[in-house]
Amino acid sequence: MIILFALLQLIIAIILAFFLAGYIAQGKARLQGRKGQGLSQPFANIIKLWVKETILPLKSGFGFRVAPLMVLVLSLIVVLSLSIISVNPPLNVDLIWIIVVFALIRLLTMWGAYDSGSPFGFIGANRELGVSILVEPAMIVLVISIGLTHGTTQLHAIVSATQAMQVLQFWSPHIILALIALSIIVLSEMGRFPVNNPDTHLELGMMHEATTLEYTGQNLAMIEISQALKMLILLTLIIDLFFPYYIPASLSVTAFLIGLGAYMIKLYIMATGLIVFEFFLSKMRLMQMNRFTGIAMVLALLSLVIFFVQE
Amino acid sequence: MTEVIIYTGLSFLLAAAIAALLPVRGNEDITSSFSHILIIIGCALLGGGAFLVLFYSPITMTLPFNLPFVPISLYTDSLSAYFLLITDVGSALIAIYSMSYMKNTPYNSRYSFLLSLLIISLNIVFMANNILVFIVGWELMAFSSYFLVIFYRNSSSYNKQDLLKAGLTYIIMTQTGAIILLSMFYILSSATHSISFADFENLKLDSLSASIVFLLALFGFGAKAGLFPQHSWLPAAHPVAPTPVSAFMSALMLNTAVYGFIRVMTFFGYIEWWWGLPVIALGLVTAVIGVYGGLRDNHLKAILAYSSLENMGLIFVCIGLGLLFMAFRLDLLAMLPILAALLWVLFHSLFKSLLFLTTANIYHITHSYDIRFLGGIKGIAPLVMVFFGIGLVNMATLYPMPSFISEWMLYQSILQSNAFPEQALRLATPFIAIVATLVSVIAFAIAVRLFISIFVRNDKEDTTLHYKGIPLSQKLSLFSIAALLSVFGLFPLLLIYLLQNTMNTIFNRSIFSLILPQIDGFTVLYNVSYLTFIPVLIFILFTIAVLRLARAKSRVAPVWNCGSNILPKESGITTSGITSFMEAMQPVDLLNKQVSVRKSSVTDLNSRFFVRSIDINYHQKDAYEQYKKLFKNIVNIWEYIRTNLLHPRNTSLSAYMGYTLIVMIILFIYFGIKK
Repeated sequence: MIILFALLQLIIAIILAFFLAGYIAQGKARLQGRKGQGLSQPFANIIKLWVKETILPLKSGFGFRVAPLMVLVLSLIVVLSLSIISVNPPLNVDLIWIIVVFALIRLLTMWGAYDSGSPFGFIGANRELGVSILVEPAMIVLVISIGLTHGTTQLHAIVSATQAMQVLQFWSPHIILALIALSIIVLSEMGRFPVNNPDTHLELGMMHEATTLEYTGQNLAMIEISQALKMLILLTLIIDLFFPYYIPASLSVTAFLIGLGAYMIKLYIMATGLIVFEFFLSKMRLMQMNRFTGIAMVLALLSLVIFFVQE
Repeated sequence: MTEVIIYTGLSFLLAAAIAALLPVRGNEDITSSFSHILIIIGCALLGGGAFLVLFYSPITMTLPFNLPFVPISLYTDSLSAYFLLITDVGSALIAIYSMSYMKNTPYNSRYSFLLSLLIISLNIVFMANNILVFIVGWELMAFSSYFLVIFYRNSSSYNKQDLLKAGLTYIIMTQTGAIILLSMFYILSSATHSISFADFENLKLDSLSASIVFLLALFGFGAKAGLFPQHSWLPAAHPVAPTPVSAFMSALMLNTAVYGFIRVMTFFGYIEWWWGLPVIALGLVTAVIGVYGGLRDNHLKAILAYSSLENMGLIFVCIGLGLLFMAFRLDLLAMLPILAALLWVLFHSLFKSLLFLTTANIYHITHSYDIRFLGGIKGIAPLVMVFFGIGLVNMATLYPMPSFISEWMLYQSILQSNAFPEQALRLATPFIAIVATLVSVIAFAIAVRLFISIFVRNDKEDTTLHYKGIPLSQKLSLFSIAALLSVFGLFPLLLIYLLQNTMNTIFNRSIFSLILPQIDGFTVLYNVSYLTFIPVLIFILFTIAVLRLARAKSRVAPVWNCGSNILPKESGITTSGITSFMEAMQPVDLLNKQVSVRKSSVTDLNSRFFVRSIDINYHQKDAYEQYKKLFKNIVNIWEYIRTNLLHPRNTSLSAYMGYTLIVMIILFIYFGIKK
């Protein structure tokens, strides 16, 4: 039973992740006056990449070859630990564990990038490292602020506690601050504007692309799947922590359908917001990253302080 | 039964020390190897004994010979047995490694003599039942490790001046700590009229003397653990010591400080509310110094020494949190950070010995410890890469490795800060988490930096290097440590069973009372590891990855280099992601850096625009150098006493008699006032 449930969650998450990636690319193109590639383009990309030949760089080693698969499986494990179609996910874990698995994914990506022997891999991985140093403390502070609110850091417990609370009682000032901080963190983790330009292959702006520049064929397909999943995971984290309404606690067909519909609507609204937000921003210089993530850190701290003052 | 095992183990160690002194002409390898084998057997026996004590009952052993007034007995309860187990298993593994490492090294029988003395002294410290035995063990430990640190003083590959200076720093720091500890024990024994630890258990001290004892314990044991402000000996001593000794000192000897501090804290029936605060503060400062130093230093072993500082700092933060909870009578919550500290000690011992020992293999390949000049040995030494990588993932406290568990417990105990009755404490405790996260993230960066610069960087690759592979005994030792780490990481529940009696000794309360609904999260880890779902998944993942690697059809092609044919040698390091972080951290930077740039221009043009060469002099000033003034004063006092009071040139028999007279007068006055 639990295995079926886990498989269902995985399939839903993968399909939605592709549509999400396709929708964001499409929406961006429309706003820029282009026609766009269509919603199902990511599926076609993956299929095409999967049948293509794999090319390995001359000096690449063990890390380059195993990193894509490990990153993919770890992303799937994280997907299994989120409340998507039910309040109780197949894996009950806590938020700190999720943050640490993100760090592990980053470590593996960086290993693959360094191991490719390409100087671009070095640039990308170094930048990735710098961003992670700035983002992760803010994330932990945020988790502590949310954890103190509910008395736990377990994701499913937070979800059910938030559902049980009244809406106005839940949306106190410190939760709003925490939401803003998490949004900033999510933006920099996803590598979107203003931190990184996801569409370019320019050395100045590259971060995530530089780490995966040398991958081809099936390896690249796995990287693309995990990047799409990462976007879904981060948006789902926002949904689970702040808008967990209509996520079903019991297993019935109607509740499942309502929950899935609500989840897709929430994703749609957030993706649209992301597209519009990105449209009005330009990329920030890498050296000014600390100011942007500093905002997240300060807001998370403020949220913590306000939580204590409220009591 | 247990007594017999422990006695046999100790006598094996003594026999090892004696065997190392046997005069064998010409070839010292035989005595050294023989003595190493005795050490390994002795440690295995002692470890077995400690294991039995840990699971059954505490034992008291009275030596067959005794001094008339001082009963010398050894005592082991489950707290010391836990540390004994770590020490003996660790020393056995390090001894297996060092047996082949020290082959063909001059004076290696002297080395084995000192090593067996060091192991004996550690065992004595953990088994001590009274002040006298403890101090004897402590001093034996200090001096045997001092001579091991300066073991290479006659070797041509080390600068003798630097080496002796590092040794001197170490011995002065540790002896200053010993003096502080002696004064602490003096207060304790004068309050109870006894020197036995058993009599200290129900200690009745007034608030002031209890606080003095606490502070003396903090600074006395802090000197051994490398807590700020006594941290400077670690990065000085580890780079010059033989590598197994660095591993031994960093992984096992530092534990004595944690043990001693926890032991002294168990003497007190109550904890003053503010005692946790200086422990936490010193721990955090030490951890920050550790990561900053590690990020900036270039000597491989110094970076690992800085990492020890970081880990010791966070262990003391855990202990401080435990004290804080205990002070407010929240014993159940106090169990979590103390458990984290005890587990952290175990994990740190394992992964730090793995890292230090693998360092020796890296040195065998590259003949350099400077990570700026290493690189690209992943092809010739893949196994070294795997072992070092496992250690580094631990250093970065990431999930499948056990260090994550203790770090996670630290965060969970910080989350319990809502239970404090004081608003200020509730507000301040989460800030510990911020510093702890910052520390662990920088540790992550250090781990990446080490791994990349040693194994991956192709642009520094030296094609002339070659390596025969790790010798079998070294492989055995490294593999055992790595296997222990992986098992503990995937199945943390085992450790809870290992520690149940120890926690009972400290708290008189079962560890399983922790697994209650009110401490959420603990149950989570329990479930996740118990289901073994994720471990199995990770295992499958590794299998698939290896299989894929074996039968992957792929073409090999050169990397994309923007159309140019030549890949510049330094092209990989044009930017660094750390810079942005360093800029953000400028205001709170603890380490000064001084960069002086001297340009020499072409003389006939005499223009600053035609620069022929630039000398960049980069000098990194450590935080402890600012503290050095105080340290220098301590040295000066010793120097003054030695030259002016004790030197035979300046003294005579009458002077010595005069000193005795002065001491006696002081004592008479003291006891007269007391009566």
